[in-house]
Amino acid sequence: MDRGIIRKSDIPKLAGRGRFYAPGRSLGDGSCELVENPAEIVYDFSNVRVPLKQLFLPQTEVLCTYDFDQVTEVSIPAEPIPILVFGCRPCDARALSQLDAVFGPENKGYADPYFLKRRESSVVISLACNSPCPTCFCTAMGGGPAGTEGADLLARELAPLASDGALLLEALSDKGRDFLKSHGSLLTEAGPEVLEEAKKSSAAAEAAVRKANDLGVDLGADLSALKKHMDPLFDDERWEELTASCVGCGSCTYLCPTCHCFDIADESRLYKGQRIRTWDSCQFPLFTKHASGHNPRKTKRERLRQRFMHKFSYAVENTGAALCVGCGRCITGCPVNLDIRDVIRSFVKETTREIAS
Amino acid sequence: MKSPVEEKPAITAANPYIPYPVRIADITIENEARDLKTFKLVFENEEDRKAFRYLPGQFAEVSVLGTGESPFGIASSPTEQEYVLFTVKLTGSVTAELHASEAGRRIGVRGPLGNTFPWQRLEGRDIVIVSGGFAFTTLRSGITYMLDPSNRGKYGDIFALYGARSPGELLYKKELAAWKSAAGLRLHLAVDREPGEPWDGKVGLVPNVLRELGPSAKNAIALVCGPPIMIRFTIPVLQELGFAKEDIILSLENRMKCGIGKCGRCNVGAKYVCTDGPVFSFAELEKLPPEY
Repeated sequence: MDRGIIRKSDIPKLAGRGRFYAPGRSLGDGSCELVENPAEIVYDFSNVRVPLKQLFLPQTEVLCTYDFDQVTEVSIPAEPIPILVFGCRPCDARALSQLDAVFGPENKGYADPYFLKRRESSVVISLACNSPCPTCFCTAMGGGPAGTEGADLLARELAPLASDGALLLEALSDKGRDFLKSHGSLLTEAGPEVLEEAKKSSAAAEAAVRKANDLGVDLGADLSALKKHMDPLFDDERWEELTASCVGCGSCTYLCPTCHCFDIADESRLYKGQRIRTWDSCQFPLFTKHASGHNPRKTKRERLRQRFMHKFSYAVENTGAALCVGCGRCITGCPVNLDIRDVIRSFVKETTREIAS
Repeated sequence: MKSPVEEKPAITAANPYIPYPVRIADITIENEARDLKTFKLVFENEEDRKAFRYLPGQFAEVSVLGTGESPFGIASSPTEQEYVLFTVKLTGSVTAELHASEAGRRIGVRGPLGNTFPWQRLEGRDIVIVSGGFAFTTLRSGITYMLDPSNRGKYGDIFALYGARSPGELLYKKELAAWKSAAGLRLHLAVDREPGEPWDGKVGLVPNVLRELGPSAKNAIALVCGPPIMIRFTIPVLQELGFAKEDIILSLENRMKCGIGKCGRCNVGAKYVCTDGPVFSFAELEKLPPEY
């Protein structure tokens, strides 16, 4: 089974396989977050505030615990609880596939067991966007409001079949097909005309994003499009200008669905302790500071440049994927209005000018 | 809690974040300043010792549970099968904890990590080693490896220049004494300025002494490890002597956490010191930004 129609009121019935997460507004401040209560699901949201990566690369996680009284024993945490995510945006799901390329064994031959086990035991159902926000630029990054990368199933809202509306579920992976099969009792058949109809609203959303945020680049057509613009301008003065307003707070990296840099630290009390991994940020001076005091990226200029070079040049070279999905969180979350779209535009424009002259 | 690594060695193999348990078998104070100590580590489990297969040039994360871990170049050679050596400078919290340790303490080692000196390319070539200060560690590994009877025939003559601020700051005094009479190795020791004690080595900064000694670049490859300032002035001398950029081999250091190319801090441009390095040729380094 490749697709089926499900009523929105039946979505909570999908829960039950481990932990369930869906967008909700339980915080009461108007922000949308991933919540665990299926009764709180909302559909009228642009995106959740904290990206989906938090479920697979938690902000803090225990790598191992140990007991060094007498004999040291090291234990690794138990197998992760399976996760079912419903309603993440396709950009966030796509970010997972970019993280797969970082944490998977094909990156330098080392697999990250913590991330990968959570990925293996999870099912991700993304929900296509019908009304993208003004800061969305997913299409420039090679994705789209109904993108299919990284998710197991894609849900699209259909014109109301019943009072509570309905969704078209489309399987994108084997895991997604198995999921549809095992929940067949909740589904009704969806003919090709239903899919065509749903695709129409997705196409409209995609056209809207393209129009609102045409950055002059399409990484879907040419993954190296930005890399080849940026590599020759590594020492360019513009980095100084771009950095001028940056306060180095690191919000952009914490809100980014693809930023994955982490720290490892030990915490112990008496003879028991744990080694923990936490999110870290390339925007902080301590991130690269040597024990000797030497710092290879000693000013904000180098650190800001690192963030953009990593996303559009280094990652492309190392893992065959850029590390940006165009979700726009770093734009809305920046306290000084630093805008990644301006950075991209500045490089695209510069190179176009050079070619013209 | 009751799943010790000893019972399940497979956990370690499948999980690159979990260190092998080792015991500090011996500690040597290396210098007069007493801020450099060499730790001789012995694996607690025989299968871990066998699994820890490395070649000179590689590094490992030395792990002190409760404090943290830090990356160090491996100072022993794989021909020294019973133990691994790390020479550690007292600098931060992990190194302070190591320096405060006594023999017998149980710690961890995670690795081996990174690439090696280009051993295949080195075969059949003469070797010119230039080193200063405590960066000599992985070259101690390299020299020991090449002098081992099982390897001696593979490599040509070894020229080694090793300098330090003063005679008391030279590492591995026992090995240095033995190497003076080793066949196939010409060892030159140097100190930065005239020491106020008997000294039969050279006096002068490493790049100057290198120029004076002028080892031949013919069919030779240079391995260079030292502080950044020494490297900066040594490279032009090697080029004057006729070494091609590809034949000048260097080793980088950057701050690291994971050591396996994930945590994102040791990169120099698109290259990760932990997985693409730490060993790079000068030709490779020239193409990278100076973020090291």
